Amino acid sequence: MKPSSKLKTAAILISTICFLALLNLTDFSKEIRGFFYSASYPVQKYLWESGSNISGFFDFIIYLKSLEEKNSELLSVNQKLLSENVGLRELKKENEILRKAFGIGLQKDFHLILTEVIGKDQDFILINKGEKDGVLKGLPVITAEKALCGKVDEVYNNFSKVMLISNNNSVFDAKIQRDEIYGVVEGKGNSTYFSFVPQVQEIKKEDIIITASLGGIFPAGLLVGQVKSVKRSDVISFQEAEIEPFFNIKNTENLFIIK
Amino acid sequence: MIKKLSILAIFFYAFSLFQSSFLIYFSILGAVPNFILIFVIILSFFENRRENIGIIAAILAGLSLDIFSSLVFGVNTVALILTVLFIKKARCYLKEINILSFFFIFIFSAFIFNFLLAVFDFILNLSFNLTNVILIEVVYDLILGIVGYIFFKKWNSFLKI
Repeated sequence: MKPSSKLKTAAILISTICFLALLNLTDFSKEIRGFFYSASYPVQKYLWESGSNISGFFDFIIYLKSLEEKNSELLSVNQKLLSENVGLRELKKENEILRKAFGIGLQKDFHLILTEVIGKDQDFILINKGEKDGVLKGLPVITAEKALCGKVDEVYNNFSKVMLISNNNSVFDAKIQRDEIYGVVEGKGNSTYFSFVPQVQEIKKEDIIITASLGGIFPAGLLVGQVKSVKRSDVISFQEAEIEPFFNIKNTENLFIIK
Repeated sequence: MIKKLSILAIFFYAFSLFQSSFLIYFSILGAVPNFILIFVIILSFFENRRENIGIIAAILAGLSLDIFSSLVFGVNTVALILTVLFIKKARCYLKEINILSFFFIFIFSAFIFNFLLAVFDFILNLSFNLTNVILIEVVYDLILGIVGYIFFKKWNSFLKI
């Protein structure tokens, strides 16, 4: 590179950095992003739906191969669930009677805002509801099956960015559904872990992790994921388990923001 | 020149949209190909050393990526500019342009870009995202990059601005 060319390159680089710094310092970058999200929303929505349909088609072809095996597996699970259901109905009846007797009201339902996913980048998703719809930073986002996706991280006029539970900065308290074993769910990039569980407690494979409301970040009882593998070591006082989140971006189009 | 830059800007914007909304469904082990990075690397690799089209393309491409990125606005732009500067510097030491030199420059450039993103994210958000997914993404990009190299070699008249 000639000196004049070097100078030109340096000038471009410095002015670009200054311009970008100014955009971030004045919060104008948020306005720019909001504008482009609004402008590209129809195309983005179409692309998201097309991606979902096309990948769904390929997934279906792959799925067909293991359909027979899956079917018999599901039949046995169904039998098990039916017998559990009978037991639960009895418990429900008993519970209702007890509630009446003690005068306990049912927990107030969540106020939900229906939203659609239109984009994703790393461990963040873009949804089509924003400040105008009453979305606030920090609100939890769940699926129709009450599986936790994450929390609102950034709010624009008509859009919001949701930090998924797999994100490095996502940390919240949770517990194992079958027992009162408490721990912390931590995102580690593309994977999610249930950690800070004392070695004396037993974590089993396929245990279901749900949110606990100790830290006040998420309401209690939301589904988080299922234990995939457990890591134990004699040299550390805590154990951790890798979990498979129930929330899967490929199978989700509609989400709910809990207000 | 303005016409070609406008075409480039629209192209990058469309691909950012495509990457963040469509290609997400076709990730391999969590890695999604970065067509914009591939295109900028190829463009900088083939451009005339005296030209600055690579840097201008890096700015346009970076801004497009920044719009749909979860990182601080501008991080992709700066990372892409520095990647292009690396390619320009590396080109000075190349005796000839062939697929082997492209192969090595591509790998280094893709790693530099992803490494810079991870470093900037760590500095600005205290979040460290340098995972093994980057390795898969580089391989994914490299395969598409080689296809792009073959295609570009036959069609590089576009760069003669």
